[in-house]
Amino acid sequence: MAEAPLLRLTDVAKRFKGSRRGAPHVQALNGINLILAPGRSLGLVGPDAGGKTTLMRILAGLVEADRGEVEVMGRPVANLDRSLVGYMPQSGALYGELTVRQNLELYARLRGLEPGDSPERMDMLYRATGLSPFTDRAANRLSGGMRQKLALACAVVAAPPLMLLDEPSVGVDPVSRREIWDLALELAGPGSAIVWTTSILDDAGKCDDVILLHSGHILYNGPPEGLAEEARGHTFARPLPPTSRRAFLQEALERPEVISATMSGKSLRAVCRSASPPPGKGWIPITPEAEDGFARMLDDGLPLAPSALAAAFPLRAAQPDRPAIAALQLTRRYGAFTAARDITFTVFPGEIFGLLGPNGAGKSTTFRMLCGLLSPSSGRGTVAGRELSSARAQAREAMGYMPQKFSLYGDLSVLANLRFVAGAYGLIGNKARDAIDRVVNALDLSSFTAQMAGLLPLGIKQRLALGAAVLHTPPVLFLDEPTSGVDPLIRREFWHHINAIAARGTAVLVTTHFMDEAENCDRLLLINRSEAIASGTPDDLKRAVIGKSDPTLEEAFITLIEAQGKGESEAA
Amino acid sequence: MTGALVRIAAMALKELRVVLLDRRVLTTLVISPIIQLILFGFATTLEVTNIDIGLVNRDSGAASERFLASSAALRNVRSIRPYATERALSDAIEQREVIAGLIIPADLSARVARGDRAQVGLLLDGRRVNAAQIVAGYMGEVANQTGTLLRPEDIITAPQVTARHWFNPNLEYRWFTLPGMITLITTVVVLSVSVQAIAREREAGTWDQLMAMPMRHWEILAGKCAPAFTVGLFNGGLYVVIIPLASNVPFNGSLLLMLLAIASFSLSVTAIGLCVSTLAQNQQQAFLGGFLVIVPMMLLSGYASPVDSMAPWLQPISRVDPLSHMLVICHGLFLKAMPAAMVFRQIMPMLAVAVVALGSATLLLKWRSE
Repeated sequence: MAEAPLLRLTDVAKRFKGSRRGAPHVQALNGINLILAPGRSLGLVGPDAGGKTTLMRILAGLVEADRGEVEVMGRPVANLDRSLVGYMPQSGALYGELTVRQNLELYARLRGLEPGDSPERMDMLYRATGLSPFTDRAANRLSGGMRQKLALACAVVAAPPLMLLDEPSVGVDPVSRREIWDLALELAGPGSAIVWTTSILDDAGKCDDVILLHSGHILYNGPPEGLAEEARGHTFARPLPPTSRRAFLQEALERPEVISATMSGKSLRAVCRSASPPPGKGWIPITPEAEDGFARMLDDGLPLAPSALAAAFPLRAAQPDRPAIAALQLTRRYGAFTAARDITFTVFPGEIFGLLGPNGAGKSTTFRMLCGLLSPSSGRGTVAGRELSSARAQAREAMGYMPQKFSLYGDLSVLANLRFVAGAYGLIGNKARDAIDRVVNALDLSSFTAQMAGLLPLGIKQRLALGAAVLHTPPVLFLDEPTSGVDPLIRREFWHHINAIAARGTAVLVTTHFMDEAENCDRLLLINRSEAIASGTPDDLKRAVIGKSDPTLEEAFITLIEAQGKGESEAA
Repeated sequence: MTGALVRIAAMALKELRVVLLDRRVLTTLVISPIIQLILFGFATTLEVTNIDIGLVNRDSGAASERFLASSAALRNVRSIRPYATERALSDAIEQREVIAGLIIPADLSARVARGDRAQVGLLLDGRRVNAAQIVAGYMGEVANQTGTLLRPEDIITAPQVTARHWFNPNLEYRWFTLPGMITLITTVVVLSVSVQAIAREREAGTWDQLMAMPMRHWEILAGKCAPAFTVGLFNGGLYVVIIPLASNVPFNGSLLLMLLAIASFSLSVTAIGLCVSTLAQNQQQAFLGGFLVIVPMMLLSGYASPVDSMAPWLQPISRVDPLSHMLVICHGLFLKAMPAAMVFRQIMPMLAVAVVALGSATLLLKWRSE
């Protein structure tokens, strides 16, 4: 290697003080060695609170390591010329009230680039991000995907040799996710190196190298293909029957031999602790994927217990004639713009119903109308048989809601938050105490109860939010991207709970950007450009892909969306 | 109904935790009233002391000597500074070296001796209206006394006015400012807590979660009254205890009535703050909104200038201001034992304001939630 590395870390360690007085120190990083050459891309993966963000902040010179050497571009990081590093913090650093142009020009000037002097670069940024039509729109009125693209453009506006991107694709639909990755590559200069943290292993798979961080240690450092190799010989699949697919999944997940199991089309995949298939017929060895290696390396050796969270739900009989959620021609207009048009669907008790669609397509609008957070311009909705327009409070009593963004009180402890939620749903005394104990135990929150909710790692925050949503064992559950930004193992655990809760007869309406999660749903509704463009079981949707034997749901998603675009341009 | 009570209690408890467990907030709420008590006690004064007077004296006779001796002997006069010319004197006034200038004409003593009408010139700095008026009063008094001393035979026995100041026999200004301060500071503290109530949720993004819970709008508001109300009650109560202990201001009325009044007052100000809060999108807007209402509320209260002296069309508006009623109660219960019936006559309008403001806040919240 002729060129000097951009990054060289030698035995770096960092620990933080405990969150309370007397609490043990948190060893965020320990013995980190890494080298990054110019022009390379590095994916940083690992469970939440694994040290990814701390490492990024050390590389950006925002946090000082306790021990070890950090060299950026051949110099100690303390003497770093900050203009050579483009750092995009988690959830971006945009000024919501400023327009797209104002944000971009502000960041350009902050990095010593006068926008007037380099119109080519600015033009290129607008074109590459696809933001040219929206230059005068306030940043907080952009859809999630566009906001991330703008944040990325702001971070790398001066084409720095080192790009540090912390979770740039969190909460973004599969199409935008690909676009953001391509955008990062396009905006990078020829010799620029990219460090990219993500909880989505698909993204990491696109990098030249992958580092898996767990409890502050590097568990894996190598090419992305090597991650899958860690699970070679441990992955198996068997066909799934067309009905009660989820029951099979749950059964497999709770087996002591199985680390992780997912549904994929017509088959059930499992990663096993030993190199032999789980008991039962029909298991055949299959090629492992990155996620399987991840699961095997992070395996804690404990089998998933049956969901205690679900056990508290009363068993509700399926009532095929009485939908738990009904949307009837729901429409929402903002002036001349229609955010959702004539959306109609029903969800029955015990069903998991998925709302899919790109960012800004009208999925959230539909979801919010059904939660009673937004009044429809026309059409109506019912939850648990209660009309949202006339009996909104009663409808709310019957539902649990987990918002996309963590929305509990950051300055209250976990316990105080749960107590408030219990009271808000009318639980008092022993009932409240029992419900809180149950949720704390089932979601493994007992070591966090006294901590401020705002300081928890993302995965724990999501657990708390799920706990708050099911505290009162509602007959209807609304989950808005419940697993956004959490690592694959926590996602597996979440879906384990969700499936078990649905099995008790609870209706679940869920939005997600993960296609493997969409596989978990009984039925799906795909919304694009404010309209429902397809609905049915995952298999129904896959039929849209012509000329492929077992297409993935992601392929179906992209095909259907492109088909709508084509149909409209032909009509026009 | 019990469901509503449980939800309101949960909300109130949560709000108290959020506001009162924040150490910085708590420090501000406890320390700042004490600092303000000291400042109000010693910095705001309606008396004019430490007066400096300029002098151009063209008469060296007995009359001018006597006049100047009496002036210098005034308790509040710090110095009398001689100037050679009127020009120098007017410069001194302009430079704020002195607040007033005396010009004693050359024929003062001669006129007094002749029994003619004698005159002394007084220049006043009109930029300091209040102080100048008071100085003019002092000097008029000195001129009268000097005249009486020099020519006692000329004084016609006119009816004498004997003044007795009820409720504040020595006319001590602190007896007026300190009880009134309870009203002002409680307003500031209560409003600064309550305007944040809804805005904080909107800014933190917790509003949606709240709206997805089975809480009615009025239940949210009822629960959100808790911290501001508690803070107001605590602050007001603290002052009622501290003021008679730390100063010579008496507390003559009923403590129970006083607490009842503070409670009603805190509730009404809390409700006004909540109204403002429902309109704010973030905490900064809430803060500015609070500022927008707090200044008119104070000006209309009658603390700075009596309500009776305000423009006639403003007077009915000031009656809607809870501060104006609370001021009457504070002065009434501290300086005299205001009877319960009269206290209630002031409490009722405050409660009416509370009810109307909470009602409007509920409507605003419903309207803004869409």
